[in-house]
Amino acid sequence: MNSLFELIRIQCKNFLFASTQRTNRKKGIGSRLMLMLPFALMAFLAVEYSMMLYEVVPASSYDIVLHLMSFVGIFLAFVLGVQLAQGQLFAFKDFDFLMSLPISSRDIMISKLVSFYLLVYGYVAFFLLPAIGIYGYMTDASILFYLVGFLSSFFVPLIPMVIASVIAMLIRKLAGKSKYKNLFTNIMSVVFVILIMVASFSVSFAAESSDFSSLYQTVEFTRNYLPFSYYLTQGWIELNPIMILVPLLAEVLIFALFIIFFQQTFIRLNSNLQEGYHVKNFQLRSEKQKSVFQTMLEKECRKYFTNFMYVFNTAIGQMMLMFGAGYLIYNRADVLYMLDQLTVLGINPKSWAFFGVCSIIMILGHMTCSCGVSISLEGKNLWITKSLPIETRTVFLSKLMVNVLVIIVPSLICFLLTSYAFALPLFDIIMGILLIVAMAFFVGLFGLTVNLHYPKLVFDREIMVIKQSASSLITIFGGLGISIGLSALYGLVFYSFMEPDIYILLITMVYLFMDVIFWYYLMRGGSKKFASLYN
Amino acid sequence: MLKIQNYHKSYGNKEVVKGISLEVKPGEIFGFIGHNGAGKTTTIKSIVGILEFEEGEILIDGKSIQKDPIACKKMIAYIPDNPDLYENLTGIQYLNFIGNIFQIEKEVRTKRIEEYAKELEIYSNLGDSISSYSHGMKQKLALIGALIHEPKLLILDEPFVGLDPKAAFILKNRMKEMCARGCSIFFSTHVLEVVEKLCDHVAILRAGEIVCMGATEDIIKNQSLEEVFLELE
Repeated sequence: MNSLFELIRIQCKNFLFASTQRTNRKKGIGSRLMLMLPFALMAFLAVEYSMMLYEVVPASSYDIVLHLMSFVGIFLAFVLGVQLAQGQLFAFKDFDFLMSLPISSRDIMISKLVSFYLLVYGYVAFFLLPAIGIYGYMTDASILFYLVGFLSSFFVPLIPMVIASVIAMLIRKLAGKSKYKNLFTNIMSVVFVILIMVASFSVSFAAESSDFSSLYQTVEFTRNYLPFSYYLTQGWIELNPIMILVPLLAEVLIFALFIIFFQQTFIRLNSNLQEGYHVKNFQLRSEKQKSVFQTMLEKECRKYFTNFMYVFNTAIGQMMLMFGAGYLIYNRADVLYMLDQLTVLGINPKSWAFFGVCSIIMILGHMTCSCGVSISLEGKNLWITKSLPIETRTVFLSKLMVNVLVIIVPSLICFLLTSYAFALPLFDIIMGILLIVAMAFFVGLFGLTVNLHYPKLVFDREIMVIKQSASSLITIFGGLGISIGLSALYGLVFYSFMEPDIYILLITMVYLFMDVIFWYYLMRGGSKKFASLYN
Repeated sequence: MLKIQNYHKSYGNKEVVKGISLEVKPGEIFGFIGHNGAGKTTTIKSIVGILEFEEGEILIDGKSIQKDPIACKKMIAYIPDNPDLYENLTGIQYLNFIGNIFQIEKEVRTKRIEEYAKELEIYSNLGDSISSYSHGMKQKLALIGALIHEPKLLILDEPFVGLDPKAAFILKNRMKEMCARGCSIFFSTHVLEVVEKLCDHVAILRAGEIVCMGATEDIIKNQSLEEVFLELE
C-alpha cells in the first residue's frame, strides 16, 4: 500500500509540475497561471450557463437547472475522458521504468488512473462546483447541501472515466500493429468525441425557449439513461442519504471492477505499443531531387498532417466552417427568406450575407493558427534545422505556407460555394477572395512572430504545447479579439456610411499592410531571434 | 579548416567557455575531451551554428559561422550525442530530406545511401518510422545523413555512444578514409583509447578552459591519455 501511495504522489507531482517547470521564477508563475486558464474558463462557463438558465426558469423549477448542470458536468467528464484517455493511459514514457520496479501491474494502473482522474476532475470540479454553489444560493440551501455537493462531486467523473477508458482500450486493440496505428487511434478518438457531441445536441438545450419541454426532456433523458447522475443530483436537492449513497457506492464498485478486470489488458496493450510497424522487403528507390524550399514545405506538411491532435486543435475552425457552409447551402431557402425580412429595414440582404460570411471566415480563420506553435514543436529537433544550410527565410516560409494552405483551401471552397448559393455579385466575390488570402497570411505571420517571442522548446508531450503554451493561447485569443473586433467595428462605427463590401476592402488593405510589416520584422529581428533559440 | 579564436560563451551570467582557441587542419582528426560540464558540447554547438556566442570567432575554411552561416553549414556535417531525429519520418525520408537540403543528385544519393545503409546494417529498416528505431539505429541513421553529402568538416559529439562494436569499427575506418581525402574531423568523446589511436591532435578542456593541447603523441609521451587526463583534473 505504501508503494502505491508513493507512486501516486510521484505521478501527480510529475504530472502537475512538469508542465510548469521553469528555471526563471517569474516564468514559472506565468506558466502556472497559463495552466489555470482552461479551468478558469470552465468556472466562467458554469456561472454564465447557470445565470442564463435561472433567468428563464421559474423559481419552482430551479431543480431542473441543477440537473442540467450535472448532466453537462457528466457530459464534460465523458468527452474529456475519451479525448484524454489515450494520452493518459497509453504511451506514457515511464512504462519501462515502472515495470522494472517491484510494483504490481494493478498499482501501476491505479496510479495512472489517479492522474487521469485528477485531470478530468479538475475540469469537472471547476464547472460543477460553481453550479452547485449558485443553486445553493438561489434556493437558500443549508450548509449541509454545500458539504454534500462538494464531497459527492469527487465521484461524478468515475463512471464516465471507466467508459472512456474501455473505449480507449477498444480503439487500441483495433489499431493493433498497423502501420498507421497512431493515426487510427487519434481519428477514432475524435470520431467518438464528435458522436457524443452530436448525440448530446440532439437532446436540445434550448434555454431561450419559453416552452420548457426541451429542458424537461433533458432531465428525463438523464433519469432514463444516466440514473447515477439523476439520483445523485436529486439526492443533493432533497438531502436524501439513500439517494446519495447508492449511486456513490455503485460508482465506486464499477470503478473497482474495472481495475480488477482490465489491469492485464492495460499492461498488455502498453507492452504492445513498444512494437513498431516493420516494412518487409524494403527496396531503395531513386527519388526526384527537390529544392530546399520544397523539401522544407514537405517536411512541415508531414509534421502537421501526421499529428492528428495538432490538426484537430488548430484546424477545428476550418472543420466548423465546412459544416457551417454545408448547413447554409442546405438551408439556403430558409436563410434567404430570413435575409429578405431585412429589406424592410432598408438593408440589402446580399450585402449582409456577404459581410456575415466574410466575418465568420475571418473569425474561424484566426482560430486556425498552426504557426502559433510551429517553432515550439521543433523541440528536440531544432538542432537539425539550425545545423543544416537552410536560410531562416526558408524555414519561416515553409511553416507559413502550411498555415496559409490550411486556411485558404477550405475557406475559399466554402466562400465560393456560399457565393454561388446566394448569387453574390462579382465585386463581392473578388473582395472575399482577396480578404481570405490577406487574412491567411496575417494569421500565419502573426503566429510565427508570437511563437518566436514565446517559444516552448522543452516539453514531454506535444499536446501540452499545442493546447497550453503561452504562444498558443496568445494567438488564439489574440486572433479572436482581432477578428471579432474588426467585425464588431463595422456595426458600431462604419455601417451608417460605408457599404459592407467597401469595409471588407478596407480590412483587406489593413491585413496586407500588416502582412508586409510582419514579414519585414521576421526577416530582420525575427531571424536574429530564431538564431538565438536553443534548447 | 576549422579555426576557433578566443571563443567565449555564457548562459546568462555564467560563463561556461572562457576564451578557447584551437585549429584543425585539413586531413586532421582532432579529439576534444573533458569532464562532464566542461563546455565540450557548448563549443561544438557554436561551431555548427546552433548556439550564438558573445565573443571570439569561429572560422570554417576561412568563413565566419556567424557572418556567413549558410556557406559554413554547406561544408559541415554534425552528429549530436543524442540524435533526436524527426520521429514522424521513415529512415529513407530523413535521408532524402538531407539529400535535398544539400542538393545531392539523385543517382549519387541513392548509391551512397545504399552503400552506407548496407555497411551499417540498417538497410532493411529504412522503410520503418524513426519512432520505432533504437538509439543505436538513430545514431547510424544520423551518421549516414552526415556522410552522404561528403562534408569537408565532420563534427561529432560523443559518436561512439550507442553504436555496436561493428558500427564503431566501421565509423573509425570511415573517419580515416575521409581524412585521407582531405576532410577534417573534430569530435568529443569520453572513450580515451579511441582518441589515443585515432586523433592527430587533442585538446583537454576543464571548466571552460583548455588546460592541455597538442599532438597526441607529444601529450601522451610515456603515459596513457587516461593518466594525463586524470593528472590534469
